[in-house]
Amino acid sequence: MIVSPIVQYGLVALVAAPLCASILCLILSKQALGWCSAAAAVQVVSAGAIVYEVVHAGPLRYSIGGWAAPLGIEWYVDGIGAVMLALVATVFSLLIPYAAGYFSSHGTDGESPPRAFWPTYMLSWTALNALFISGDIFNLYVTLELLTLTSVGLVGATGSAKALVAALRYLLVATSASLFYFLGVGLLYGTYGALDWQSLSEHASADFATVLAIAMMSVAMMTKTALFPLHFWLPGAHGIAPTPVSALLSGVVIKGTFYVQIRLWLFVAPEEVRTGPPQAVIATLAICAVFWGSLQALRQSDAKIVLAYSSVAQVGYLFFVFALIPGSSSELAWYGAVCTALSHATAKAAAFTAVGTIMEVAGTGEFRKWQGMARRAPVAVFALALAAASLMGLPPSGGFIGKWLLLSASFDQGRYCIAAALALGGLLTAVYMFKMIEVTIRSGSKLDEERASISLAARWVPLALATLAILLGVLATAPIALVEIGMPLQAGRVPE
Amino acid sequence: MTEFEAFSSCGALLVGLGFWGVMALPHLIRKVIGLNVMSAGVFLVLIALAGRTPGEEPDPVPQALVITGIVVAVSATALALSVIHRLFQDFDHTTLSNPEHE
Repeated sequence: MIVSPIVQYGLVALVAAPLCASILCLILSKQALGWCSAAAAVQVVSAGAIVYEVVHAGPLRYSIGGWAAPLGIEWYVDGIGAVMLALVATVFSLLIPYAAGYFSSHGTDGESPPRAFWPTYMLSWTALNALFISGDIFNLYVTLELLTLTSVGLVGATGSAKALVAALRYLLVATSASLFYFLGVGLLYGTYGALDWQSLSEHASADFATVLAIAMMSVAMMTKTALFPLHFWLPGAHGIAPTPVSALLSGVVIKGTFYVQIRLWLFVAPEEVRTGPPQAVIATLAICAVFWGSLQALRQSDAKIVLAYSSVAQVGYLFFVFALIPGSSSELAWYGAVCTALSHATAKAAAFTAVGTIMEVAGTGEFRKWQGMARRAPVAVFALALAAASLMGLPPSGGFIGKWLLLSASFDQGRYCIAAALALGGLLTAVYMFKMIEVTIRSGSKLDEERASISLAARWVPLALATLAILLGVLATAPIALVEIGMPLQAGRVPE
Repeated sequence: MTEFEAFSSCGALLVGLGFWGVMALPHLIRKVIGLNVMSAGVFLVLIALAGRTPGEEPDPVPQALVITGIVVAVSATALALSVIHRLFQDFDHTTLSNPEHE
């Protein structure tokens, strides 16, 4: 098919640039930061170009090398894909200077991160980009596996015993889930003879093989996104990882697997599978996730583990979309899910990076010992407060818009349990975030007022991310308009 | 029982066995072996799918999927084994339980 060169080069650059950068970072590791920054610049431009093209030309399709499916790989970008590409480009680019600053003050030799850090970082960026532009379910399997393996490498980067155990648990859980996903792919291919979204959504019918495949793949994606009760691996992995890695994992990696679940459920699965008992099951699990995550977060004393359990709760909000579509006002639920996903990604990354900076200044991760930090690391505490506002759902943040839309949809459908979970979840989030922040405002036991020397990036990256989370609320119409392109609620689903 | 049914039920059995191994066995190497048994089962189901129309040419697409899957499984096993090796070498720890020191 005829595709404009912008799309061709843009899509290829999104995957090729970080891949080349990761290889260069491994071979020529002295200039690792240079390669990463160059690749980041290329990708931000490409992501912007792709978003522009999607807005003006509708969903994009491109077969790599001109080889058609099923043996060739087809790439497909619609509104939701473009939005996710932009999110990933932003978060990864902002975390590069933060990670550089983090390792220069935390590294074992005090200078640079472990040699494998930058290559693995760029590889996980490659995996996420390739995931969001995949046009068929098998390509998704490959990118999911790449994402898992690189995330495991990043989690275990410090090499401590706890980190290695957490990384191994994550690896075993995620790879088992991927294998079930692969089995589902095989079943779907055996039933329909095709692997790409369009054919599958056109021909999907609710026979036994399809239902089984969708069920297995959904459970696999729920495990990877850490929906209750399959969230057990997340607090260990996200709590023990170096802070930029935690920001990445909680922010974008679980959004990648959530995106796969969206594709599966809203684009591929036939109507009969998506309504009725599966909706009730997912709604129940999501409500439990919200309460369990929030209550566990209240009990913790380490700031990063509080944020990890907070991610467990926020994943519950994300999964409400499957309980609310199809139904009346389901487009509100769709917009709400997208806004929640975007604002959670930026706000959680902001919260983790802010907590990392405060930990650097205070010397400990236990937030009960953070007295006086508001005076010694003011920008970081402010960023944490802004991020908390978005996580709680205070206007005008992105979290508020997402919650509002989800609440509207659930009231419209009479799903009062979901509405109650959304509201109470916000209240519980406020409690555990306030617990962390109010300690910093109390006067410190040590009265030296000197500002600790933290790198420029450590001070400003959290604020940049938190500002993004707030801006997503103020400028919410932009991502919503973008996501409308290729929405799953039109009659023919995947448009021609 | 047709050929397809025989192979795919054998594959399903292997997936179940492997998954039980990953979940129930405490030693890390045994978990990795369970993971490999599970992937062997998944590949067997897919290969059975390739030959699902007897008397005709086998379908090349599932075979391509399986080859890719084997590569992915090998990489995942390599990563798992190197992390386990590091855990054993540095800390003498071979399960997923909480390590005592640090």
